[in-house]
Amino acid sequence: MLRYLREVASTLKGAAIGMGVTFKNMVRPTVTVQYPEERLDLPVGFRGLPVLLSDVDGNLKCVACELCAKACPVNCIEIQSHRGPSRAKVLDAFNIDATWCMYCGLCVEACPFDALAMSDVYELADVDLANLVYDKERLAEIGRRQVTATINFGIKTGGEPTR
Amino acid sequence: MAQALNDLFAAWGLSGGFVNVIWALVKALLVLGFILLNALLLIWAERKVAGHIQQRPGPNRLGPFGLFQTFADALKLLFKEDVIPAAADRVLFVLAPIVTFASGVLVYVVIPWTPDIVVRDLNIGLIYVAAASSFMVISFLMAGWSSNNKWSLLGAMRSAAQLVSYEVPLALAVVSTAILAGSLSLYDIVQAQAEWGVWFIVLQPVGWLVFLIATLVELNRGPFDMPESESELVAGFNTEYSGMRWAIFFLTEYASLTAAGALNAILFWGGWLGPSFLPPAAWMLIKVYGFVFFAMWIRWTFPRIRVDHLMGMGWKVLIPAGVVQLLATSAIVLIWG
Repeated sequence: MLRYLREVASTLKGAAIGMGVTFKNMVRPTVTVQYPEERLDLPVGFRGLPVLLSDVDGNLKCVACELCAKACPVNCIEIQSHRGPSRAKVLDAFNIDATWCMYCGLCVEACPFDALAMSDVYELADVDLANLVYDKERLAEIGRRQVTATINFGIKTGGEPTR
Repeated sequence: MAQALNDLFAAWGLSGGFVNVIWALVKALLVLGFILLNALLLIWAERKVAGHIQQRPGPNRLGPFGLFQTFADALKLLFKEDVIPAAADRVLFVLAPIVTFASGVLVYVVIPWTPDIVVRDLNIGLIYVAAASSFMVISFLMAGWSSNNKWSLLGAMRSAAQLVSYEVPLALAVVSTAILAGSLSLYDIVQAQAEWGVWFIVLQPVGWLVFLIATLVELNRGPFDMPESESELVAGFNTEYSGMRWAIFFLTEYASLTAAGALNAILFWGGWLGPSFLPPAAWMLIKVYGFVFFAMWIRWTFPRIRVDHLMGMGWKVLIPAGVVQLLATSAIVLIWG
């Protein structure tokens, strides 16, 4: 009889403890981020779309060496170039197919001139697949919005997002 | 106001019988309106409570604090296609939600919200409540059987098993308060608490625990929602229901929850009694919705318990506790009453 009563008491105590836990959680502030209105602050080094960086004069740092294209495991980088008058390569096209890109960052690691960086642009959804092939103008445009130095191969962008 | 309306009817030359009919209609409409609005708000509250227990905000997009979410849901359900499965027993299938709703509404007849606000104070109020609420199990069986679906049938069978076995401890706990009050009328039970000077929760804490658990089981609410148990039975007895028919089951659940809160307040927490800085109706509502909140809190705290454990708890713990409570109360009332 005593054991039975003790069992009932311990059950009730356990239930009360459980309800205490849920009550504590109820009065705690919620952790929800109201996504389209609020966004989490991304760490520098977050790997979003790889973008082309420019020097202080606004010219692309890329010298068309194609090391990034060779490093890319999914072959999503397409580079076309020709020899200029001083035999230096001139970049004609630099396309990143964002439908293939897996955001591994190997292209940025391969780049000897810091001409590429992983940006924090990640909202890439589109209704037209063709829009997801980013050419060098669009990549440079995102790169020019750089607001932090390249840390861990990543940069942060500021300003109004364009696509 | 009632007197003014009576005068108005008299001025129109309406006879007594006719006035009574009008009064009955007015009261019925008031109860129905209360049940509908109450259910919509409680569903919102339940989502909010559930959300905050899980550190989510709950509905917050539509209207202030997401208040209009359930109104939008109700509108959606109203416009949904009325689906009756081909293999279903059409008559029973259509009838089941109506019987459920009737059972949920009937309880409201005897609930005194304040000394004045009561549809009809029956002198056998408690027996009436027990009778009205217990034929809900028939509607669950009707729904489960007529759906012609094994999940529905299993849910209905579980519902029958648990509702029938928990009628017993519920009755034991409720009868103890009636013995203390010396009356079966809900109004008299509250008056008795005023005379005793203490609420019956103080005199019968064990009885209240038995009542609380048995009520939650009767309401088919978590952690005792085996008849519905989404994770094993799809949705139990209302698997095949959709649209407004399903909404009526849902509506009744919240109507019954509020009625249970009212019973809890009346039987154990002194009904409308309370310090006079608030009107009686306010005390009653605080107690009712306090119970409703408590039920939600319990629902979102505990995982569903196993069917055999539920039966074990009912027969091996609650019924003995209820019997002891009843015997002790009877003995004390007999000796000192």
